[in-house]
Amino acid sequence: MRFDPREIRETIDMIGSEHFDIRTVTLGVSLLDAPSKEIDALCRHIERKLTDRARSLVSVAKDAEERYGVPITNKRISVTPISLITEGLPLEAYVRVAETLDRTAGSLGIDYIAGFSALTQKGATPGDLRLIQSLPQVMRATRRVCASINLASSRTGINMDVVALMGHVIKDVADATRDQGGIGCAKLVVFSNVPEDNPFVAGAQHGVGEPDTVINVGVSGPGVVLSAIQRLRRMNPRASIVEVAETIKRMSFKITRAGELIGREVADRLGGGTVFGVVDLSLAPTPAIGDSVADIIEAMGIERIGAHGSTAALAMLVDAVKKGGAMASSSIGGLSGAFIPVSEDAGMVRAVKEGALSLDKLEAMTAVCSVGLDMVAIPGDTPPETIAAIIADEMAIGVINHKTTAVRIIPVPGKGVGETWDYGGLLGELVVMPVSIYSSAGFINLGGRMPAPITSLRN
Amino acid sequence: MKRVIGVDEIDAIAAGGEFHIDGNMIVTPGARERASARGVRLVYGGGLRASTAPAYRPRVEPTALGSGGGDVAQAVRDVLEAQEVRSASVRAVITATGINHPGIVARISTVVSEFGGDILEISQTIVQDLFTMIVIVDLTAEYKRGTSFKGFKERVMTEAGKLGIHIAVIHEDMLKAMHRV
Repeated sequence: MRFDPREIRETIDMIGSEHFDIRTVTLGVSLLDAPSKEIDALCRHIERKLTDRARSLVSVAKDAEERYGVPITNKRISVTPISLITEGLPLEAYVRVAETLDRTAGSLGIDYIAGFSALTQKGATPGDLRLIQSLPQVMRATRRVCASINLASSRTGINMDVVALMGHVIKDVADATRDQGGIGCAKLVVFSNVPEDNPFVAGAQHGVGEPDTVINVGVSGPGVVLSAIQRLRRMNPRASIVEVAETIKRMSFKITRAGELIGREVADRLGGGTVFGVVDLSLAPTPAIGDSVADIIEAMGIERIGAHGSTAALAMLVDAVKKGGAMASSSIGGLSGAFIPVSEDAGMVRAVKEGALSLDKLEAMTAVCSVGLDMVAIPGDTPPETIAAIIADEMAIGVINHKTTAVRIIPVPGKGVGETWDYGGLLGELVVMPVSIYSSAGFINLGGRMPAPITSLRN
Repeated sequence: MKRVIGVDEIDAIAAGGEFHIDGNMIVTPGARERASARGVRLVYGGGLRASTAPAYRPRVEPTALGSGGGDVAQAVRDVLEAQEVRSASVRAVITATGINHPGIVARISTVVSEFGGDILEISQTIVQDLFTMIVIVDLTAEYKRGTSFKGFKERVMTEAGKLGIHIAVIHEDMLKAMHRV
């Protein structure tokens, strides 16, 4: 097979200077086989199984990284939603399980372990509520554990009782980790239509329909798409939106193929029955300059992300990414699209600082991006009902549009509008954004379950 | 893709015989009952590495190809073997760029040959004093002997450091995945 020198060059550039990386190789592990609900036995089982299945994950991923020259930024584990395993156990058990997950992940060299989760879209069991109750303590006691709560789905509507509860819990989690700028909230996400095979944290989980162990890969690559668009516009200043879309599709194809190659290799080498699951072809930005989804939107001619036209540009981007990826692989899953986390994307941070991007515009953009309000900092004194109302709006967008939406929001303790907090690493820099000064408490306190939309009746 | 083993597959085995089951097979409950009724032993093995297990391919026994097997059987074996070799081919694409000075090509090709690699293609251009080279190396033979791609890459990179030029080594699979539909 002959390769064009340009193809070789392009591959070297993607890896070398355009920040192309595999964001995560996530090993999903089912914990449904826990033989006992006796707490010590349960923790032993979790530790043993994770150690057995993930023992060589880090070294295998490292090998694949060196073989193919594409960096794998994170190695992660997702587990069966913990509430399914601990139902019936007392509150202390939840903290014990979380600590077991954290310690085991640490000893295996895993960056994050996700799946400290509950599914409450139609109603919460006592166990679900205990898991939610344990979150402030869990987030204070652990470093790597990520939690997610599904609050709504297009089939069931929105569980407004738990939405209201989460408004309080998010504030409590921020408070429990106040000395680190409320970092606990960066590892806690609420969902509508949560996917069961998403490899990205904080929302990863190993759904009940999954095999025993599975490798899911999350690719990154905004830098690659950005460079391609810049190249196109340099070579052809008269390129129309059709050509831009075509360029994005092509790059998405390549990124997806590389992701699948590495995912299959890792699954193969892990052995022990681990199969390859999906490539999640989300464009996931990092705080590195040039590795930004905001920059892509701006490269299309929007002066600053958040200006009018941003939603349309983002919609086209997400759609083109999906089309290229779907052509490249039959195993596409997870969230797949483009993420717009604020703190993790240097271009978004800049837009907030310059007053170009408001929470309202961000919310509009979540209707067309792959997830939702992500890594958004709001004032530490925001009332819990306002946080719940922000969540409710986002859940409604997901439920009505049959898409996944999520909220990962940080009421930064002691900080007001415009103030900042730097988490460093992949989490980036928070800039506190203003929320509405008017109250939503009356609406949130109605409680109950918002009925499923008419489009839920599809059979 | 897993292969489902049903009653028919069990019936094809002589009574009292054995049926080998690997990680790529799923045995139906009916087939299990039939096996126990006919005294066919189900032998589990081959590990659970479903995705690495070779795709199912009917064994072509020489006797199945007529009396004595002979040339046809040999030809079939050759084709099957050739297929295996092709699918396991390991090739590396090396690109080198930097300021030209004597001995770059010589040093790179020495490393390749020390490693038992076979240079399939080499193209080199010098624009003013900038040197660029693309080399395609076949490592299949060495790979079968257990040498790793990673080791080869490290060797080449070390050499690049000494030569003061920029070298990238890409696995052919990566290029194939990205650039071929």
